[in-house]
Amino acid sequence: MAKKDYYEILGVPRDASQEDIKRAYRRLARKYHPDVSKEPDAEARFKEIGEAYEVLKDPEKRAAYDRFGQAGAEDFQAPPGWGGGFRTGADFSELFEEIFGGFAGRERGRTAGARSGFAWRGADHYARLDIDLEDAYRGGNKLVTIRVPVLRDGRPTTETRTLQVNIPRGILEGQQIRLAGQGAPGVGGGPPGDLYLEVAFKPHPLYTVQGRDVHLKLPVAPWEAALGAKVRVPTPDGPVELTIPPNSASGRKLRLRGKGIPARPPGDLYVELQVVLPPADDPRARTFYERMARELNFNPRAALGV
Amino acid sequence: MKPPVLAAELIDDRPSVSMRALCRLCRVDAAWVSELVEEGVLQPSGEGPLNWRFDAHALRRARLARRLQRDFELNVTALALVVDLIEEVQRLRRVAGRW
Repeated sequence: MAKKDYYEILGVPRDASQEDIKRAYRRLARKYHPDVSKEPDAEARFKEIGEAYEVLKDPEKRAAYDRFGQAGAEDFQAPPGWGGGFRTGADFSELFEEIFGGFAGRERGRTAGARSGFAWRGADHYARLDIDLEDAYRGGNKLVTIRVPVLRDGRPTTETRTLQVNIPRGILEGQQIRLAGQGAPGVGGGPPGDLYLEVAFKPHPLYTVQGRDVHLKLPVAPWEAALGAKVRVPTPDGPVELTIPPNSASGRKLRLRGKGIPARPPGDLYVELQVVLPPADDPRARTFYERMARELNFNPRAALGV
Repeated sequence: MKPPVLAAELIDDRPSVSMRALCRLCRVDAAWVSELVEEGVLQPSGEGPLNWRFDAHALRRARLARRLQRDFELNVTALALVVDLIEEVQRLRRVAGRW
C-alpha cells in the first residue's frame, strides 16, 4: 500500500493547530461526502479524509504518526471508549457493525435451538444492484455479485458473493428487493438477517429513465418532420411503428402511452424528435439546398427580429 | 454451477416495511425514527408507531438521514432540511443528465 501523508490529504501544514485540522476536515467532509459530492472518486476520498482525521484529531495519535509515520499511528493502542460518532477511516468498526448490527438494531432471537440465553439475529445487509433497463421490462432471474462483510479468523473483512435473484418485472429505480435470510448469519443460534438490494439502472446509450417513464431522442430527416411519416422506433421492448405528424419541429415530444416501464400502472415512452440535416458534401445535395434557399421563403430568425 | 434462485420480496411505493424492520436495517432505535416522523422526514402510513409501515422511498431517506447524522452531527431539524435538499439536487442532476 502506498504510504499516505495525512497532512497532505487534509491540505494542512505539519504544524497546523488542532482547530485548523478540524476545520479542514469538516470542509473536505462536506465536499466529498458520497451523498453530496458529484466527484467520481468521492467515496474513496471521503474514506481517506476520515482516516487522516481519525489520526490527526487525536494529539497522542498525531504525535505517534509524526514520529513513526503511518505504522506508528496504526500500532497506537486507543484508550477504551476512544472514537466519536464520526465515521472512522479504518473500516474496522463499520465492518464490525455490518456483521453484528448496531446495538440499537440488536435483538434477541427466539430460536428454539439457542443453547445459551443469548441469541442474536444476524445484521441486515444492504447493497446496490445495477441492472439494465431491459431487465425491468422483462423481469426474470439474474446472477448478481455483491460484496458482503464477513468474519474471517475473528477479523472482519469483505468477500464477494454470487446470488441468483428473481428481478420482478416493472421494477423501478430506488425500489428494493428483500431477500429474507440472506444477510449476516445469526449469533448463538439466532436467525440470519435479510439482504436488501436497492435497484439502480446502468446508464443506457439510447434511453434515460425518470421514474416509470422512459425518454428517447429520435433522429428524423427534415422531410419526415415536415411531411409526416411512419418510422420505426426502438423501445426496450423491441421496435414499434411511430407516426410523426406533419409540420413537426426539432424538440417536439411524442408520447407512446404505456411503453415505459411495465410497472403498475405502466410508464410512458417519450420520443423527442431531432431533425438531422443531410450533409451537403456532394454536388447533388448542394444543388438541392441551393434550390430550397431560392424557392422557400424562410427566415429561421424571424422571431429574433432580424 | 448456478446458485439457487432466491425468493425476492419487492419493496416499492406500497408501504410494507414495519418499524421493527426499518430500525434493524438502518441500525437505529424506534425513538430516532419517531423523531424523524415528527419532523416530517419520514411519512409512514398507519396509526401509531406499532402500525407504521414505510415504503421504499422512506427506507432510502432513513438510511440517508442516518449517514448524514453520523458524519455531520446534525440535529433533526437540520437533518430534515438537508435530506430534502439532497433529494432535490439528485433530481436536478438527473434532469440535467437527461437533456
